[in-house]
Order: sequence, then C-alpha cells, then structure tokens
Amino acid sequence: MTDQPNSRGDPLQSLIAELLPWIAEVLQGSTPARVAGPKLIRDAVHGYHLLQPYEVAILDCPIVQRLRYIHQTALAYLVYPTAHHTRFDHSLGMAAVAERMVNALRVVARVRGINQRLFREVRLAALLHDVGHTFFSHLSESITKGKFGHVFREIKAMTHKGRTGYFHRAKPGEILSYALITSGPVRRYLEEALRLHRIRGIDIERVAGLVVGQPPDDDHQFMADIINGPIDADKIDYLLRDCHFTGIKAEVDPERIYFTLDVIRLPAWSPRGYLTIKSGGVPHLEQMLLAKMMLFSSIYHHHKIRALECMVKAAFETMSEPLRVRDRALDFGTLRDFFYVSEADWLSAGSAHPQVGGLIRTLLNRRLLKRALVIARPTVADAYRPNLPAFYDLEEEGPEAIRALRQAIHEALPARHRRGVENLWVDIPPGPDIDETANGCWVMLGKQPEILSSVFPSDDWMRSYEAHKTRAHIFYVEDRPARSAVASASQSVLYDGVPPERQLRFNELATLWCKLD
Amino acid sequence: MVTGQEPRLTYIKFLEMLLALLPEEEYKADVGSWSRAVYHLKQKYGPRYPQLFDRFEFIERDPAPPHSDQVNYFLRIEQEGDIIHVYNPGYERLQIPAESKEILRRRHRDLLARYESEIREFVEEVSGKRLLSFDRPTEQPGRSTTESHS
Repeated sequence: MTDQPNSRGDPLQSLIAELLPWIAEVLQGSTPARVAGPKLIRDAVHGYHLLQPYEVAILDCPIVQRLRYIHQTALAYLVYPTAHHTRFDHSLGMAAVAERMVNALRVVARVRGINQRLFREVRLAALLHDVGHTFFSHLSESITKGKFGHVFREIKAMTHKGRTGYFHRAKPGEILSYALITSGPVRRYLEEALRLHRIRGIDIERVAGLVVGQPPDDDHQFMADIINGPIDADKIDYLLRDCHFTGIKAEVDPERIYFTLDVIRLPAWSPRGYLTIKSGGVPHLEQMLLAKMMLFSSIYHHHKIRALECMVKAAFETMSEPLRVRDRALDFGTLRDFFYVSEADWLSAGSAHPQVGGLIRTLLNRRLLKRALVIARPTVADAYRPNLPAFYDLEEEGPEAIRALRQAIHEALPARHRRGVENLWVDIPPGPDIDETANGCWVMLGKQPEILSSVFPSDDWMRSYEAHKTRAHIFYVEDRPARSAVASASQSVLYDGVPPERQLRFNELATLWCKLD
Repeated sequence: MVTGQEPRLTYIKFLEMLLALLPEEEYKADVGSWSRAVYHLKQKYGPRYPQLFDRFEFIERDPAPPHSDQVNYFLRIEQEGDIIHVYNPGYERLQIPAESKEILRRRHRDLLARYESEIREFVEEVSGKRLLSFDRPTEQPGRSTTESHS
C-alpha cells in the first residue's frame, strides 16, 4: 500500500492483503504445539499469573513472540535506564488485570451472563491486543499515522459487520492488531491452537472485535470496555508497569478499582451494558487520571524523550536510500515495511546506513539533541501569548509548514553554526487522551449513574494542568554556542519571519530552561 | 516570511472563527458540551463540507457526550494562549473576552472574508439549540451568584 488514497474496495481487506506476505514469512514453518499443562509466571507488577495451556500455545505464535523485542516505552530507557519492559510483558500484565476485572464483576458485582467463553475471549484479546505494534511502539505509530493516515481514516469511516464506525475508537496500532488477528494465516494458527487443547466456542472475530472496543452484542459492551474503554485493563497495566520500570512514584490502587466495578445498562431507549464504577472507586479513578498526567509530564513528554523521537524522525526524513535488513531493501513506502524491522534491526542496520548511520550512532551513544528554546505558556511574553494557538496550528497545517519553519531558522544561523536542517527540530507534543475517561466513564452515585466529569470536573482541571505543563521545543545539536545561535535565530524567525498573528516574543525562561547560560 | 503559501483551513482555524463570532456570554467549559456541539455541526453540515468536518473524530458512547480529541486539544491550546478563560471557581464556565474575539477576527480576517456566512450559520445553529450556553444557577435567597470566591 503506497501513500495514495485507496478509493476502491474494502480498505480493511486491502490492509490485510498488504500485510499477508510478511505474515506468511513470519509464520513459515510454525504450527501450534500441544502444551501439557498450565504455566505459572511471576510478573514484577501483578505477582503470580497462571496461563492455561492453550494460552501458552498462542503466546508461542511468532506474531506474539515478536512483542518481546518491542519496548513498551520505546527509547525511554536512554533516559530511565530500567525502562526495558516490553509489549510482551504488558500484554501478559493486561491479561492478568482483565481477568481480575472480570472476576470482580462476576463475584463482587454479581453480573450475570459472564460465562467461561467470554472470560477466555477477554483474556485472549488482552494477550493479542498489541500484535499490531511495530518497532519503538508509539514512536513508529506516530510515523505510520502521518504517512498512512488515509488508510486508517478510511477504515475508521467504513461500515463493518453491519456497524458504521466499527473502528471509531481504534488507534492505528489497534486497527493493525485487528487486521493481523483476523487475517487467514493468523486466525488459522489461533484456531488450531484452540482445537489442539479442545477449547471450543471461541470466535476469533469476537476476540479481535474486543481489541478495537466492539463487543459481541450490546449486553456485553462491558467486555469490550475492559479491553478498550475509558477504564480499561490496558491503561491500568501500563500505568502500573511504566511507573514500576521507570521508578516514578505515582500511586494507583487497582484492587480498589476492580472491586468497585459494575455494569449499567444505558440509555433506556437502546440499552448497552457499559462498565461503570461505584462511588467508592471514584477517588481511585481520579488518582489514576492524575497518575496518567504525571507520567505524561515525566516520561512521554520528557524533553529528552521528545528529542529522541525527533532523532528517529530525522532518520526517516533523511533516508532516501533503502535500509538494508538481511536480504531486503526497505524504503518504508509501505506499512508492511515497518513490520519487517525489529528495534535491533533498525539500530544495527541503521548505524551502517550511508545517510543516517552517523545520526543513529549518535543516538546509540546517547548524544541526544538538546533544547535550544522552550515554547510554552510560561516562556512566552504575556502580550504574545494569544498567538500560541496559531503556532500550534502549524502542526495541523502539515509537515511542510513545520519543515519550512525549521528551514527558515537554519538559514538564519551564522554559517559556522549550520549543522544541517535534519539536526534542527520543532517539536509540538500531542496532548494526552485523558478526557475520554472523564467524559465516557459512568460512575454510580447510589443508584444514579453520572458521567465522571459531572461529579468531579477532572477534564477541565486536567486541561488547565496541561495548558501550564505542556512544552514545545526547538532542538539542536549539543554544542552550546551553536544552540545559543539557534535560540537567537528561532526567536528572530518566530517574530520577524511570520505574519503578525503568529508572532511570538519570549521571556528569559525560554532559554533559561535550556541551560544555555 | 516562513511560507508564502496561503495557510490551510485547519480545524483549529475553523473553531477559532467560530469563537470569534459566538455572541458575548458565558459558555459551558466541559469538553463534552463542546464535543457535542461540534458533533451536531458535523452531523448537519458534514456532507456539505466534508473536508472541514472529516478532521473531527468522535468516540461515541451514547448517552454520554461524544468525545473528540481534536476539540479537547483545541480548548487546551486556546486556554494556554489566554484566548479563553476557565479559571472561575468551579472550572465550569468558559469565557471568551472581547479582546480575544478581536484577536481572532484579526487573525482570520482573510478566511472570515471568505467563509463568514457559513460560520455564522454554524454559530446560529449552536446558539439556537443552546448547545454551549452556560445555565446560571438559580439565585438563592440571601446569596448572590456573583459573589467573590477568592
């Protein structure tokens, strides 16, 4: 699939067809084995976790095993040295959380209709939910989202299984997971693993549906909510796991959340069985949102981690010659190319690449790009603050607008400080998707259901927090005089080189925070 | 100038034009209400202006309001830029000061010259249905609703 709109046929089937050659190669010679008994594993976050034999057989599928080599927080280990946890660990952890949520609903909330088949399907969906991730997790997802956005938009807009907007809440990685799980070869592998262990009644389509937040029927919306919803096992596990492995202290009390879960049927005219939380769990849900905000400012939006992302983007932007991985020349002009590469491949083949080898070796040696200017509410002079939204809008105008700004700053530098525009980045971080939890989550106040945000205006508080905490940056090479020159050039271009409605003037914090003096 | 090209009509510019033309009053601050208003506009005008409304993606969980990350991001950056104010005691009222409207009108004068009638139609739709209007609490005896909470 190239970067051209696919105007004919079913976009999901086109995506699956695109991935099939890679799937065939990965699964070549692999068949599920019969596993004699259950396996008990020790998880650093959740303690002992029992896996059934058919689950072990499915985990052994190479499509799942590759998640062992995708770091959950991409290159964050270059900033938090112990953040080496992977998508594989997270998938196991999510299954453990999902199991506890289902058990609490069944035993504590006494929700009827949770049978063994549904229980197994939820656990399988958790184990498989991330198979669509490619190297560096969300980092490559941001690249594929930019490059192949039209593919995901078409799939989101399509009617599937008679439902319009079947994929309306799915992120690109989740759509890719759905495509992989429902592709012929993977589905056959999974069904064979189930058959070998005499597990009957599990529908792989239903499992894949849970991954994108679609329940088997309206009564069981809560099963999909556990996998992909406002309070899902995914969030609970990654918050706990990212905190644990980075060492960041942000407390979440998952047990209290599990034991206050319930199901509510809404609305009266067309009821769906949504996952809800009783009032006793609300403070813990709020605590979870606060922890998420903290992780955003401490990890996902950490300036060094943003710089790492820019360096990976720089490599993609500069690479006009293909990356040679084993016997394959990859130009990343197709989504499939992203699956052929592991993180080790990208770093190893990349460091030998004629155009970006130097950049990737710099990254491997942790010589990161550094801040030259911080663009944020506290660093912009009061009179120019209203122009900040127009600056952020550059991102929305498209990559060419940001590239033009980078180019203009680079050209404004004295010749001795020009190190190539690929080393100069304007980074505008995306916002966290916290509000969906606040606005999509029902809480029970006695017998009265209310939306979380109407009980506690968490969405507005968090928006205020973000408005004060989020920072855009201009990054450049480590050399201090060169960065000082970039700071001056950036300030000059952002004032003299833009229309008046976009002009920005900065206070001393803009460079002080960059430790330039 | 960084680019000599005419800027693309992004969803941020569109919503800023909407803010510029909204009548002077207080609005609901919660993203759910704003998402619901834009969702309504998308349902009604999306087929006529597909390129404009396609950029808004919504997560629907009826009867909760539809959620849009784009609307949430927009409110955040406008708050960051002091274009909108929501720092009232309960974080529940959103205010658009007159000077902000003036800034937005100046910023988008070229686009407004071209699209003002359409934007006004959207504004009337939103205002007519009171999708964003903040309902002031009923005044209690002995208490003023405008008392200081500082």
